[in-house]
Amino acid sequence: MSVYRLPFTVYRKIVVGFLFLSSIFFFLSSPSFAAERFFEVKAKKFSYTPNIIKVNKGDKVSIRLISEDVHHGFFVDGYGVKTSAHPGMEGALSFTADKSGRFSFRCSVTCGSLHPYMIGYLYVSPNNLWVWGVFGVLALGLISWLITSKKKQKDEKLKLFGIIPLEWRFPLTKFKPLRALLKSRWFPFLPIVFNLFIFTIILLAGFIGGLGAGNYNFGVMIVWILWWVLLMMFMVPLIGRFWCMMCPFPLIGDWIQRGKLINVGKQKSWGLGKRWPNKLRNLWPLVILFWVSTWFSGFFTVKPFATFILLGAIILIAIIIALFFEKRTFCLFVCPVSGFQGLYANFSLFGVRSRDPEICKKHVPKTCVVGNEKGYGCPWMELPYEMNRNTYCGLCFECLKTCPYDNMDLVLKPFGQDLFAERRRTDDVYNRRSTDEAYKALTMIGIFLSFFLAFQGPYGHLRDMVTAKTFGLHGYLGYLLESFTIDFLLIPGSLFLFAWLSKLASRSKEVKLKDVFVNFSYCLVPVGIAIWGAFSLGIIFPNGSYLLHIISDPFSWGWNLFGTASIPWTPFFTGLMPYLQVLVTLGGMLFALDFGYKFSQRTYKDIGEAKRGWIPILIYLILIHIFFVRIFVG
Amino acid sequence: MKKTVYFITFVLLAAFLGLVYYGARHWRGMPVQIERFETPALNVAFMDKDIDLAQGLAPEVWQEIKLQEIKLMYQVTALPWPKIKGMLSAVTVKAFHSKENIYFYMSWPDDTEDRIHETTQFSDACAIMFPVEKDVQPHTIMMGFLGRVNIWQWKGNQDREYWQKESPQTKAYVDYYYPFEDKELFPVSQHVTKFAVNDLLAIRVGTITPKDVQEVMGKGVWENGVWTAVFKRPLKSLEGENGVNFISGKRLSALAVWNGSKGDRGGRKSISDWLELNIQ
Repeated sequence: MSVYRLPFTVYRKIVVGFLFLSSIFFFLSSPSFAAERFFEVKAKKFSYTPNIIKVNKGDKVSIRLISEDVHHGFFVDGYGVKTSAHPGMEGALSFTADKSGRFSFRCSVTCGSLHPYMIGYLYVSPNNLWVWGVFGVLALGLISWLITSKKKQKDEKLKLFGIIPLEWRFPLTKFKPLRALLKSRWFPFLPIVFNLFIFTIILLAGFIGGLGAGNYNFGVMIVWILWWVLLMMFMVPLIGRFWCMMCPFPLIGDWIQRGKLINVGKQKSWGLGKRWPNKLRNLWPLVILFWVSTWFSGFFTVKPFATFILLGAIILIAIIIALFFEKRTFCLFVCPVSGFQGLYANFSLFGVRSRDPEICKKHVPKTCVVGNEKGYGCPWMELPYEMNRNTYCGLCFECLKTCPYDNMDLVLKPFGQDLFAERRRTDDVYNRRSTDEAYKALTMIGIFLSFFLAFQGPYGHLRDMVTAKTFGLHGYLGYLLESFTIDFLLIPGSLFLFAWLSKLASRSKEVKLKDVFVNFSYCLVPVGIAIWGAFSLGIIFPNGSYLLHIISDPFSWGWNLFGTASIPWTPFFTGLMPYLQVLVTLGGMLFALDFGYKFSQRTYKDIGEAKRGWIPILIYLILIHIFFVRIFVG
Repeated sequence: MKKTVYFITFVLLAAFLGLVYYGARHWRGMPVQIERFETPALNVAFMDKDIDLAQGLAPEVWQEIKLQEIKLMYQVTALPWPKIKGMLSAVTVKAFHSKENIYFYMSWPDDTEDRIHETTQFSDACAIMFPVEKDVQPHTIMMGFLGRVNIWQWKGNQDREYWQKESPQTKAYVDYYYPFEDKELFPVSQHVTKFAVNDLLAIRVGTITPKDVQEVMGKGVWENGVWTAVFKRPLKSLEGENGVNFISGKRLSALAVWNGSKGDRGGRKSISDWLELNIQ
């Protein structure tokens, strides 16, 4: 009997079994008796010993804090209590553990470069949030299985959660003021100039800023706290390559190539105008370059001068690439942060699309490609008239400016529409939408893991490895090996294993394993967006208040421009944070489950194969989400 | 065109590398601490009086000076404190100078007068510490850590030998305890008393060394469960720039108290945070 033709009683047994398992979870999480607990915690840059403290709900917890090097603090997320200790003196803290769950305790006194990431974990049993998180993952998985198992035939029209047709589009530029704005040559020039101003201050702060502590430096705080969080939580998931639209880095290169800053100059790039090799006209260069850039995360995310070097090098490389290669080659194939923005932009709500393909077909020459007196031919070397995905569209809106028929629109579309877009000829020519995008999705999850463990985990030795305190196998080299193993072997290997199981379960003879692997990798796009969003919450809530200081004293010279320089470090929503992280993670899973079954239908030829092939991937998604919930709150 | 592009590239690379080189040389490093905390202050005013310690502590002189209470905490050690009964919560302190000498007065409660220091009995004591360099930041209290410190330690047993001319039964004693060792060490030393106060130099934990020139005099009196000790030293050090010179302005100091009957010795003591002397 096929697993999809089970009688109702079997379904009932499954649901009852699920509820039974859930009750075991709650039994395991039952509270024990309250007691007085005393902990002696030693602090040194940038770890605590013990790094994990376990108590029961209701316990009276006393902490004796001892510093072994410089002045350190001890703040407990969610409880809002803190103490500090100078070396040679101790800090003391007592509180009743009346909230259950996992709480980070973190340094509250600036103690060095990695101060914001000096973290340990306090577990207050029972950890109900972890139990509820797992319950949520299992429940979503079960619901998904129950829904998909009842399908009798392939979906004729793909609908997001079975509600919104995935091909639905709403042309926002039918509103004339918006169209006029996007057609103006001052847009996006003015936002770029604004960002140029901000980044000039960032570079100056990195170069001549008064203090070496990243949390008191304008450059580090704006780039790695504010920008990164806005990028991962709002720009990329909602608007796609919104940042690329207003990024100031290619401005100088554009100016050199075009001879004009605002108005239309040369259509053919000044400089050598070389063409980027065809074999590298996909996401592979960006997969590698972003991974390589993470090797130095322990430096440029915390040290102002390292931030200066990184941003300076990116600007320099952008200019040099513009001198040697045509148009926005740098943005497309070299910029380290371009790859994940491009891939994740396919999930976003906005995109530039042609309104009526028939008009474009008849229009010769294609001014969106070759340019005219109103604008440049697509700097991102896309074919805007047939564009159906956001990966390589930088939202520069040149095609809106050059189209004489106003046939290009900024459209509102459902989440993930582009992930299901038809392949174009260019995709095959340049071997796009293959393992390049799969590995981009997979390495982003691996990099998340490395970042989370090093910067939000309780492991001081990992922070020592990332910051190259030593260089051997137990130091920096170990970190690089671990990063390579996780990003390129373990995470891709795990998907490959379940893709193989999917093919096996489907009993399909025709479909290639590579296609199964690539297709299902797109489920991980919303997963990646969600876990990076949850990771960003862990950055902005505890550390966001440093922003108030640095806007008043951008160079750490003792200024107080807006009267906020003296506001002390004030973490906010640290109690709410774990709940939001679980919700965001489950939100990502919801999309992954919806997309996953759709990809299964796309991968396999009939409904039977699709449903059977879906089960291993469903299990895979359940397992990785239990793992992610554990990472955040378990 | 090709040559121009290569030339521009070379210039850009050279300029950027130059900037990085300059920046690396002028990078300001990492501050140990940014958030400031309130440092208690002690005024050291001028009084046209001098004290002959051989005649006593001159309580009539000290009555004219307002006392300041300084909070104390226990010195942290790697080994957990087995019993913290000896913990002293505060010490009262006064100071003045006569343009020639500087005087410090410390007073604290102690139920027992402990003036014997051997291998099993420990003496009551108190100390004042000054960074040798004048403009140091108050980074860490423990033995300076970031520079040299001068420590004046008055000890009850030495006071008894020096002022009361009473010799101890044994000269062997233990008084050294390195606070960051995992195991407690008791090196036994031979005792040689020169004065009631040890004039010491340290550059970090575990480096306490008697100075070649002992410049500090001191005397302590125990009465009705209260210790009072007075330190006296010329404003200008005999060691010139290598010593601590008390000139007008601000200078850091810190205090420590040992309760011998509670097991305090060496690293086991109650200590204050940094204290700012305002020498007028």
